[in-house]
Amino acid sequence: MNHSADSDILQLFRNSASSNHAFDLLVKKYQQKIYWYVRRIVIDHDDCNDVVQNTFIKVYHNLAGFREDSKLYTWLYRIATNEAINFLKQKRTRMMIPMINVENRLAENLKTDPYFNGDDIQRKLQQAILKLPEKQRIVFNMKYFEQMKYEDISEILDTSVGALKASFHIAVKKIEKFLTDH
Amino acid sequence: MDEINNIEKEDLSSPELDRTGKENPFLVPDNYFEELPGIISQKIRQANKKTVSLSFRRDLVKALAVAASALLFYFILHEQKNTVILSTPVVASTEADDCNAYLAYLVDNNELDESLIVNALIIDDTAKKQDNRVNNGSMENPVFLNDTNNTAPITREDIIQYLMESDDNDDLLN
Repeated sequence: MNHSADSDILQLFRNSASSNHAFDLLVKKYQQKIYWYVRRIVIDHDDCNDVVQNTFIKVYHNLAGFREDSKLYTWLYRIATNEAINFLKQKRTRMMIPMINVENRLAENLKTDPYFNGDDIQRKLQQAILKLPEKQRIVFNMKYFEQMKYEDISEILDTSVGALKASFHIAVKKIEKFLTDH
Repeated sequence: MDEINNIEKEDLSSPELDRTGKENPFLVPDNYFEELPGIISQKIRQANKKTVSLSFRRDLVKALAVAASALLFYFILHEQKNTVILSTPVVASTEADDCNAYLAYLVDNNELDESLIVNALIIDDTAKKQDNRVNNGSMENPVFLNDTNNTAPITREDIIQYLMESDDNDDLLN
């Protein structure tokens, strides 16, 4: 499917007559990327659905003020990352569960999740990833599954490239050890 | 050194990770991505309607609050004014009391000489006495209104003498 260029979408959005059409184009262009990125953070489909909708609603309300000093898609990913992290924080508070246990609960739920189609190895990999600290997990997902450049990850997470490289390296080592031990 | 080199590598290889593969194990409901844009647009429209409605309601509440405050202020002022008026004691008065009160007011405000009051009271008193004499058929004590010093009764002889001394009164005697 051919999608419009980001600059064209932004230009259309700035015209009030075509802003809704422009936003529709933007959602269709980025919905799957944003969805799968968020899904790997929050795991559950219903939770991911809420986070993705909130992300795009926030994008709609702030797109007019987007200054284009970063790429549109890194800006979208930054909003999605913040929404996902805030969602998990709220989930911990609502469930009155300490940080670690939420991720353990998410890993456990994979066994009975109707929207998880992976085998045992896939489930173990998800469990290993869920064991990582939150930011490290996000870095790993971006680098390993999204195959983003470090420079783009740096823009999204506001972290130096060196720190990101070190974080990813450590994450890979931890996952390797988990898969070996289990 | 090897460790640092490994960190710097853009594509980090890992046999364990390679065994798991990068296939996506997650699923979505049927037609999820076809429906998602419409769902998001609808939520935005509903949120905009709510914002307009809330904004209007907030303005209306503010306007009503201001009007209610103004009305309350008016009533408080109005009640205070009535309370001041009502707190002044109302004393039932007769016509004479009204006159006396008026005269007292004039004196208090230096608008009336006290001697005039005395004259008025004497006139009032003697007028009452005259009324009594007229009512009783007596002419023996006529009163000369301007002569405040004359309080002695006047006799028939006094009248006759007065008439005789006056030239103008010849016709009267004849």
